[in-house]
Amino acid sequence: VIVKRRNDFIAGAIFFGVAAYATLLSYEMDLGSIASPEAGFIPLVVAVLLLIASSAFIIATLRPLPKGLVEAETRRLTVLVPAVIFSAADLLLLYLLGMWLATVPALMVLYLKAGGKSVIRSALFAVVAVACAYALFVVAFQIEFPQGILLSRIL
Amino acid sequence: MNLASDLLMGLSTALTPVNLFYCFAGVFLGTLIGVLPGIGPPGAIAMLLPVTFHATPVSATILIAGIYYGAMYGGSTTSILVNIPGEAASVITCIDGYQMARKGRAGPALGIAAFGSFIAGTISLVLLMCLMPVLAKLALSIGPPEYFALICLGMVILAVLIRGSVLRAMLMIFLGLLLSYVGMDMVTGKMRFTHGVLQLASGIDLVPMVMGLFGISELLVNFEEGEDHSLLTTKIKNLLPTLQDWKDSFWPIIRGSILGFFIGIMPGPGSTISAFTSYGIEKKLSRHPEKFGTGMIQGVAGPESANNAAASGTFVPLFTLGLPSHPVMALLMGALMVHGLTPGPLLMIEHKEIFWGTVGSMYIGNVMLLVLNLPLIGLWVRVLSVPRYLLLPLIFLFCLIGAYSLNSSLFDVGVMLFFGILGYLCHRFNFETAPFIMAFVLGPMFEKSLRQTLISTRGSFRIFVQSPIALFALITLAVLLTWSVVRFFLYRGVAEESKISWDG
Repeated sequence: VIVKRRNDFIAGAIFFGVAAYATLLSYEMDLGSIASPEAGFIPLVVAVLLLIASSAFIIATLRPLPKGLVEAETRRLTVLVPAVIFSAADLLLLYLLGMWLATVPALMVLYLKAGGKSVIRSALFAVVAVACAYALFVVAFQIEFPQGILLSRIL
Repeated sequence: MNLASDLLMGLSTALTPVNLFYCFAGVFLGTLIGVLPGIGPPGAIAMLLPVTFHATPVSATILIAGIYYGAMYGGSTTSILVNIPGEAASVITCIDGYQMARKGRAGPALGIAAFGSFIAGTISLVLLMCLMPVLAKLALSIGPPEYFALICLGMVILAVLIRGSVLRAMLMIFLGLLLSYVGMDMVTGKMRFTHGVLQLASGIDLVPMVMGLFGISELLVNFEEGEDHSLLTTKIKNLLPTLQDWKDSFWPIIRGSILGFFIGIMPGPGSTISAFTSYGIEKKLSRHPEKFGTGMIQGVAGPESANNAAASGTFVPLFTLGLPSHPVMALLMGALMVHGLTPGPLLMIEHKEIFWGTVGSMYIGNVMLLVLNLPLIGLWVRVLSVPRYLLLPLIFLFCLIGAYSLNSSLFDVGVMLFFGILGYLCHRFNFETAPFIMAFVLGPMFEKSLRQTLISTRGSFRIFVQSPIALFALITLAVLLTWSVVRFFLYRGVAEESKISWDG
């Protein structure tokens, strides 16, 4: 068996995996009967439908795309790993330092990655943006934001 | 129901200083979002949703509606001047609009786009006013079997209409339905798919999910593909179209308005489809179809009118049946539910000020848009020159604050970032996220109506044949699915990939 559309095959396999897992989980719940469906009944039906649809999708990847069409463009997943690292780091910083202190370095990184040249300007921009957001949301809308576990201990 | 008195009540609601402010803020932000390529109305509305929690339900609805139809206005500006559509619905405007600009007729093109949008907005509002009360009354007689059949039909229409194969859309729909079941089962109180995570007991929140899928994912795509655009440097003059321009554009505007409204009612990318359909019709009806693509004003007037009218049409299923047909309507539904209100036929009776206040604000908003778009056109063009390194971090900041302030929970920020990466992967693997969102929103209703039907009929499906509405919906669904399968085998998928993309 030769897979003609590798990226679609990967996507189909992920869907199949999710469907299989959801089928198992919902099968372990109370299903009830068709006249009296319980918590697991509808999720099981949907999970099985997803299982069937993903199987059909995987089978479809065994035949080539029609002439003139190109496969999903996945070769350039250039921001995927940086995005995952950035997200994890940002969440950790938010937890430790709180919303405002953690957001300044995050904005600086984004400023520089988006084409901004000067580190000093990025810092200035981040501080001003965070200060404006603080004024709008904390002062005007009176929304409380987390201080961060480290900052709380220090204060 | 007295239309005139209801409309007067709506106008008086919309004319209060607070609601006027929200209306202005909505259309202003909408135009801004429409002008800026990259961030669409769902992402922008998701970012601003926390602001609506501090407003009354009427003001919140006015703000969200303003952003939505304002974005349709703004999208045409960049299409005409820079050949870059701010919104997917404005893609078709590039063809003749940009050619007009190259010939030194950017002014009339922008003018007719703004006037056409204004006229379409007004016509569609009249249609909305006439249709909604009747449909809302009809909707009251609809029971669980009909709801279930209509939800199924809506999801299948969406799968058939959007870009990519039906199978891809169905995968996203089933995934959306599955994720909507995360949390406590409302009937039995049992936990489903929570894995012991306490924050998931009440399910995954819609707002951080939409922020991630439409805001953060767009940000990531922008980082990967982002490019700066060169602006048209010619001076824009004579914004008022000539008498001949008006003669050429009159019928395209009328046709586009009516067509757009009715296409907008259907689930799916109504604004985009209506703009493309209107362009096709105008080209077919024209005495000089060969001149389309060289700067014909009909090619701007028709599609621009159609995409604005479609924006009004999307309100019909939400306010009559309580079924959102567009991610923006799903967010509006979420905003109203935060205020303890459930959109649907009862809302039209018990809180009629929300619907009529929104209708009134749309009239006022259309006038505001005309004032904003014509004299301030230079300002909107300048917005395009805001560098990416300023814009992208600000979008991230708003998403971050928006996600957190919803429940004061860092968990929601995590959810937003997770769905942001998921949305980026969906984009790269050619999976549309709109069917996922729609299925996620409709999932609880889908389950509730099916369970109620099965319990009341003791497991019999005969009720779907006995109810005319359910039967009609299921026959249409079967025809659509059969047609998709036949088309797939006839064209071997060629037509599948050339369909229209979502206008989120």
